[in-house]
Amino acid sequence: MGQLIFNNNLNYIGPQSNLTYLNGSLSFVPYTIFDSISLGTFNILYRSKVATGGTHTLSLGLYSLTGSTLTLANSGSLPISVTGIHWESITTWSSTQNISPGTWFWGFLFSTNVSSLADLFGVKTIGAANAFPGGFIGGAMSESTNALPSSFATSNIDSIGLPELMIPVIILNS
Amino acid sequence: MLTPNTFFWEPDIVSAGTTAANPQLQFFENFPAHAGAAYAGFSNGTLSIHAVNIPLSISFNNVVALMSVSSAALSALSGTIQFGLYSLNAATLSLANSASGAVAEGGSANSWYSMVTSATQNISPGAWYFGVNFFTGGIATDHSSASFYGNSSINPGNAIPIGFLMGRVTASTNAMPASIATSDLDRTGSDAIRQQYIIITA
Repeated sequence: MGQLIFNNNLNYIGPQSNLTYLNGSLSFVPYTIFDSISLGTFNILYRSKVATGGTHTLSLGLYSLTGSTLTLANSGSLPISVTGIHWESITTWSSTQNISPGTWFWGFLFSTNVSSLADLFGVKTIGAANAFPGGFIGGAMSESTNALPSSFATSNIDSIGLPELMIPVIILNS
Repeated sequence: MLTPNTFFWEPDIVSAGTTAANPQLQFFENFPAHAGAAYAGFSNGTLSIHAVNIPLSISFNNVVALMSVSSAALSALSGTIQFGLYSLNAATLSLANSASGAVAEGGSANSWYSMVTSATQNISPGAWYFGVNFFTGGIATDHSSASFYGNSSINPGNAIPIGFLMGRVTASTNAMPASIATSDLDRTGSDAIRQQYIIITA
């Protein structure tokens, strides 16, 4: 197997939806990597509605899935205090990692000291009325949290509804 | 493990690395990031086939489609959704595996429907062909109440001028054929290029 220079989950930046994340809500987003890639810079397209003097913090976890358990493999964080649409990046991680090919899951946890919400740009099209009947493909924790769990059972994740399965644009650079 | 045809594309590779154990996908969806366009009707018993490029191995356990089923003004709907995994050798599609599931009236709008596979299989990376069929056992108009989530209704006036990528069987069927000659498939028009959103999970 070789090494990727970058990995883009959508392969294009086109007309997309605003994906709104709630304070304290942890969402798990699938991310397929077709070859190995060094965990370098994590990039998202962010639209902040931070009020004057406010700060958003994104706590980001990289999770592997074994059976029905998500396990935290790496983590980083990003304080954001600007408004408007920006590329935002995380470059510092809890450990050095060369990510192996396969399906991974990013855990997105936003927190804020103001009431404003955070938007990412991405795809928001699936609003099924029932839980996904196959293996785990992503979702959101039903209860709010203030920290990334080291492990989490997929049976405790909600996959019903439009926000639960939305996919932000994620570009990873080595 | 079955081996398919060559890749349509190659991933970006900077330099050769060490050989790794066979990596597995947890799931594969033909529309990345669930990025379908709309729900579209499905002609009763019309087998629709389209190509996908599966980048890594995946265990073929569950097949799931997203459908909208309306019960308004219709008698009891009894439908079957079928999925076929085909490989292509020269101009012949061969059935490698299949799955089927029931679709009944009363389901909520926009629901997942799962299908059980006929045999355990670990799908190897490469080009494969998804066959999707839906037919009803009730009155002829029953199927009109069901639609699949998929791509948009584009209607080109000619067939795609490259090797086989998508098409539909013109005669209605209630079973996945063991083999299909690509020359027998309709490749022109919106029905021919319609692709239904499919997720395979381990």
